[in-house]
Amino acid sequence: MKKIILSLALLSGSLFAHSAIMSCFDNGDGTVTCEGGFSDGSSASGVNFKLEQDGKAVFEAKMSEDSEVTFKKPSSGYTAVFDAGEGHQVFVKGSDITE
Amino acid sequence: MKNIKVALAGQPNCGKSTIFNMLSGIDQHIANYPGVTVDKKTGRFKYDNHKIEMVDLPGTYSFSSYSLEERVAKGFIIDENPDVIVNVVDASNIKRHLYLTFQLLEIGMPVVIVLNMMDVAQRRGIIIDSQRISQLLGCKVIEASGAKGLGSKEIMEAIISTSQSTDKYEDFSINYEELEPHIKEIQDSIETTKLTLNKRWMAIKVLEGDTTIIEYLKKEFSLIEELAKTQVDKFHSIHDKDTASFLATFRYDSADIIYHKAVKDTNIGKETLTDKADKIILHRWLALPILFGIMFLIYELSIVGGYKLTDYTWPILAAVKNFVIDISPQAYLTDIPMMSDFAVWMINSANALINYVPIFFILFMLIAIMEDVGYMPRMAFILDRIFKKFGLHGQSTLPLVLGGAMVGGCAVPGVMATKGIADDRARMATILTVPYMNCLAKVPFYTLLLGAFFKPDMAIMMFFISTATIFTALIVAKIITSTFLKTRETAPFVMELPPYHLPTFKGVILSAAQRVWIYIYKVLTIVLAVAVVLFALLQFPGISSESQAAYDAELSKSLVAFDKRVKKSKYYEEVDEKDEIASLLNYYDSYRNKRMATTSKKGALAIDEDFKASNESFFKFIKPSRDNEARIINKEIRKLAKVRNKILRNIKNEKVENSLLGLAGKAFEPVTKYAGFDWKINVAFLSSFAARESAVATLGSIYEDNKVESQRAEEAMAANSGYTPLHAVAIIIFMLLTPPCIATMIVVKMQTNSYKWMLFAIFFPITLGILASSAVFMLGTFYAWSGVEAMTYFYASIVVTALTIGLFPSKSINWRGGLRDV
Repeated sequence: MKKIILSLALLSGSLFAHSAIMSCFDNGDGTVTCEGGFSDGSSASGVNFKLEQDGKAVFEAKMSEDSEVTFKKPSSGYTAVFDAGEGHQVFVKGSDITE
Repeated sequence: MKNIKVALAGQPNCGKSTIFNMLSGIDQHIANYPGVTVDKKTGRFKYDNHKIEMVDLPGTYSFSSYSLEERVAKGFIIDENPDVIVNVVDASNIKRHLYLTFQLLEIGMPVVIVLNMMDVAQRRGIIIDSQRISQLLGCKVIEASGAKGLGSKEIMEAIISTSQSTDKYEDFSINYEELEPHIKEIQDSIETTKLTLNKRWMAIKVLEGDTTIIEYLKKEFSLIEELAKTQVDKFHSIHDKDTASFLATFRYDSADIIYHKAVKDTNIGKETLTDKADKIILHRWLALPILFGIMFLIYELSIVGGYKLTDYTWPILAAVKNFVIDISPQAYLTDIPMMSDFAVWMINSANALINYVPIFFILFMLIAIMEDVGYMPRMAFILDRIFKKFGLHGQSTLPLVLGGAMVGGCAVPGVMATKGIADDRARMATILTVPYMNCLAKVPFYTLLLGAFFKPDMAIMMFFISTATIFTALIVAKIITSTFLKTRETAPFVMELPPYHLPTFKGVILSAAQRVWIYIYKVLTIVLAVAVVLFALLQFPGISSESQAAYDAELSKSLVAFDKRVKKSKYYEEVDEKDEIASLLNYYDSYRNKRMATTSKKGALAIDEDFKASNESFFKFIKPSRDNEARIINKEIRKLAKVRNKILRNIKNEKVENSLLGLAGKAFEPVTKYAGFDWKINVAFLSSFAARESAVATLGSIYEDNKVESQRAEEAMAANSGYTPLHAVAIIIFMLLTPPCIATMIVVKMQTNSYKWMLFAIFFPITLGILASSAVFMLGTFYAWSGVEAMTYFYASIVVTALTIGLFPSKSINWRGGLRDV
């Protein structure tokens, strides 16, 4: 696993710098999928993802090879966080995630 | 209608550019003087039926040939023969500025004097009789205030009437008394010259030892240099005086005469506002904190603030990208037409660079404000002593900060900000060291690695990484200036602290816009050209036919599985043919891409409407809601999309591995193995510099096959002696030192005006990186250091080296002579 992360890490350091982006979809079956990426097309696989409620992280994962994470939709308010380091973070409010 | 060519000349900080902006409007064209990186600003406009071409010459204190700016300004006057020279003078500092005025008058071309900053002079109680000056010097003198927009009409009228009165013009000449016979000697010897310039002026310049004029004359009179020397020696032996300083003294005395006859200073010795401000800004203890505060502010506003702005500009770029995807040939399952691949690659490259424009615009505005206000030279003054020890200059501060002195910056504006550094050697050193600072784009990379290998120590490691850069930059600066740049020109260290001024809004915006345009025009075009080459390098020779067959088989398997599972849905007929499935997949991907680019709920709804309208039956498969039959298909199509993406990824992996880049990675292995990099890491590095779409996204799949997916990751790690934290440190160190991106390399070329230095800027850091990471890796392996230990030792050695260089007294013997065998 670490090897994969290593190689993925090397590849996210890309030719040009980039902004981090993320968008989320409510799948309608009790799960939500968040897809992350960078503005220059780089993949975000291996990047940290977490769900925050009241400032605390209640779920943590890493973006899959497809640069996405699917999680069970929490019952109360939450924020989805794509965290690729300082200056490369995206916050999406649960209430803004539509089907 | 006649063409009038006007040259704007004046000392630095006289407000020449503000006058230039006031007169020439927005139609300005910036180029370089041939062969050098000095800006040539030309404005073309019409005034009262006359066509005016106005060139803003670089500010010069005098018209000798010591500095690049002086040579360029003089070259312009000689080569392009302006009709009128407009001399902009700082009225609040009139005596000093008149020194240049006399030099300009001596050229023998019509001059118009503009007394700028009259408002400041008035405020300081300086009373000037401009009519008197006009009479004394025989030229029109106009009072103006560029900052307040006053005097524009009068200046233009003066220019036009002067250009039309050439018949009334008599060559201006200063009587140099004792030197006159020598001037005459030289003048006689160059009598036959084909140059149309004033011969007396040229003769005086020759006696001064002016290299530019001498070079021009040498072509016709090969012995002119010897002749000059003879005369200078003769003058010296008769009068015991040095020619150059004799001439200078005369000019100063002449300026003094004007001053006494036409200027009254009612407030001599009184402290000006500027002096009062400087008491705080240049205060012994307050200066540095104030400087850090200002730097921090600039950083926050431009990089952090600008980055936030890109959240709003990015969707526009994404929309353009989606448009390009839409009009490109559609993919068919796992077969992507090369045209589409290429189009996406190119639009990604362009977008990545254009994304930076908001940041640069804010940044350049802030720089323009700092320049106009007058803080830049003060910054140089405060930090100069420290920076000089490393071969840098006080004015290197801003470029280094922009390059990323704090959490992260960008080397591109950093390098572009080196334009103003007067000292050539320091400027080169700054250009070559800014890329070592903290590149913002490297941050996700560090975060990933630290998260994987150093989770508990993340904070301290990040601290090491962000602060190590300034020390390495300083050390590299010292190395470069002591070796490669040793012979570069260093400017005589004379600095003027101009009075503080309020910047003009128009000037700031113009300056920022001009610089942003240069970035777009020059950087973008070259990067796109390089992107084309890189694309080719990565595509060929492509994957083997065995692999292709294997992927095809995998796809077929998934399609069969898909078919089996959706049979039970009542909508089966809509997706029972391969073509239909292919279209649905594309529809699905397109939908996902468009949704990615929208940030608002409203936008999302609009996209849904669009897609529903274009294909209602497909839409239900994307948004099944309560329709269970559609749900089945939705689930399966998502699975199929995942499989397709995986296949595409693997195809890309293989392509890169087989490509020329891959071969290069293998070729470098004998060297890089000392840093613990095997050929796969090499390929990953090379493609991370070239391939934006994680071309080799799963190196893991090269090492372990699918079996490992079922094994726990850590077990897999332990089973295959994989990478250790020490490897990670070596990689981090290498990343720290290597150049961040192609855009940086291009601005380096732009600012140094040479491909040689650009290549140096690429290969020197890479070599340094390899050496440093090899050293750390080998020592670490030998002494069995942990990752954190290795990083600590590296950091400590860097800091100690930098401090040593900094604190080492740099006074050395710089005299020679005396008795030989004393």
